[in-house]
Amino acid sequence: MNKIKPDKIKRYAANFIVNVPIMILSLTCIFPVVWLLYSSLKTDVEFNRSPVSLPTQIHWDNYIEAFHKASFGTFTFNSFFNSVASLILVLVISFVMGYLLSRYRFKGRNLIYGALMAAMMIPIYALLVPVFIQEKQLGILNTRFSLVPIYVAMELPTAVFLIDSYIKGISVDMEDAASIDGASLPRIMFTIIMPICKPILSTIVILTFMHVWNEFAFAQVLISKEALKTIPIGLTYFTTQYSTSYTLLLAALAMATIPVIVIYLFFYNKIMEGMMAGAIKG
Amino acid sequence: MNIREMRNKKQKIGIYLLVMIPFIYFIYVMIVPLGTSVYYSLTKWKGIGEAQFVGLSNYATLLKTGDFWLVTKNTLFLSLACTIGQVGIALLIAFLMTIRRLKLKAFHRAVIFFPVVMAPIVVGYVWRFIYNSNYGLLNAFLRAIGREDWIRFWLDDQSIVLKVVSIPVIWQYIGLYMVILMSAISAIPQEVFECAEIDGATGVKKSIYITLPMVWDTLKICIILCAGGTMKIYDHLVALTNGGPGRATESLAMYSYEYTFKFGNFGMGATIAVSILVLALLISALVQILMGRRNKGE
Repeated sequence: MNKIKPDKIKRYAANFIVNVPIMILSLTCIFPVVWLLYSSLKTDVEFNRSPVSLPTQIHWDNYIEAFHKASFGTFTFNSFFNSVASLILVLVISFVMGYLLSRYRFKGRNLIYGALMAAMMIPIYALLVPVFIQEKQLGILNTRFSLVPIYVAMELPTAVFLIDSYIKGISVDMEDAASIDGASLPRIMFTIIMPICKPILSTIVILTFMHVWNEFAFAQVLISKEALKTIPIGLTYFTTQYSTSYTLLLAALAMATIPVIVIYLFFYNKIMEGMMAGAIKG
Repeated sequence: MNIREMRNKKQKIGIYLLVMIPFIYFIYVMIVPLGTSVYYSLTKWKGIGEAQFVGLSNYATLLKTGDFWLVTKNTLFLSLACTIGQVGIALLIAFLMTIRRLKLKAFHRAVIFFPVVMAPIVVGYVWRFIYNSNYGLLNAFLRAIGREDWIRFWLDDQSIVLKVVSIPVIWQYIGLYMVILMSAISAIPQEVFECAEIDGATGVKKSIYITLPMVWDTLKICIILCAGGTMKIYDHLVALTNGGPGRATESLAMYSYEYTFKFGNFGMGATIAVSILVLALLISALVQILMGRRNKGE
């Protein structure tokens, strides 16, 4: 626009001031992850020589060793089991609850909805000890089903909220027509509304999977049996058992993170949308 | 509103059942433990046998314990540091993201948000590598830029360790608040900015006098989430320092865990758990009061 030189300099300076700090922040956000991935492919000798340099040759042995040494296979299976079991339960329960709470007005409806939302304000880790005591009394401590009930309850409010607000935006005409044609309520719910809700259901699946995959505190408190431990717990085990082999630990960290990276790359928008809605509703 | 009528009594019962069963389950898993933890906080209990009712004596003992005040101070410090760091930086970036000059906005958004989805425990371990005094990235970097005098034993130095561990936590969650604030900013009607521009408002002024008041409520939510959320900090610290050196980086949640599972004092563990809850509620009430008042004044 303007051809006067000082103006141009000013513009470059402004561009610089705006772009550079954010670029630096972005790089600090991505670098630790990139570093983790490439460092896990180095040998210990190489790592000790220089922790920053790129690996001279790809060295997959760390992964193989980490996988075998610390029964990482078992941990991975347990993490998958917990994630999948929780997300199936969350999906079904939250869909039915969300649908009914959204479509029907009955006594106590607002109370139930309010209680679910209010429960989100409970700092969940204050419940560590109480939940431990409860599970101990029930005798479900240290079993395959110690964690799933907690995770389902943890994820439920957000999921119900997301489904409720999504269904609010869908017209009832189709359901009314179907019900005149004689379709039952379960049939309407599962064959008409559920397919329409696919986008929001997939958001819930991803969010639940990520939360359960990453969860640490409850898994640490409620599980002490080796065969039932999850990946985050497995990582603490690594640091105590193999504290001398850094690249082994790095490979284990990378294995815990790679599924998250893959999901993030594919579903980045959904994750953001879901996390935002989940955070804001409070 | 898209609401449907219930067809008959049978359907009404069905709907009640379908809503109440999961709801009761939810109450049982999330709310009942709260009640039992209040009860156990009033007892002396070793995890087995009978719990012996002792009234408020656990609370009295706790208030007289120096360590309790130390970990409370640690937790409150982290909560404050994280609120200022996370929400402050996020707000700053959210403002910068509205500037037309900024290139690669989508890239920045995706990259800055990524740490949010990482497991806190993994973040803790990765940063432990960064801080390590022998082969850590931070010290290697300082050596490379010739500032060897800045090199520290980051995680072993009592005087700085609490500040040092707050950085990974801040780092991880900037993206979350950035995205929340960005969506609040993008919800502001464009006309508001156009009017302001006609009236001669420039970049910084526009941000302070127009954008900030309009996202005030969202900012309040962010601060409550962040301050309350950091009260329960646990994973990061376990991975980074495990509370050490001494108790210099121990948080309330870790203290509760320690009392319950290491000392086998379940009553005291529950007392600390209740304290976390009370503190978190107090903080969110405090933020509501402080920020609510200012909003009315404007």
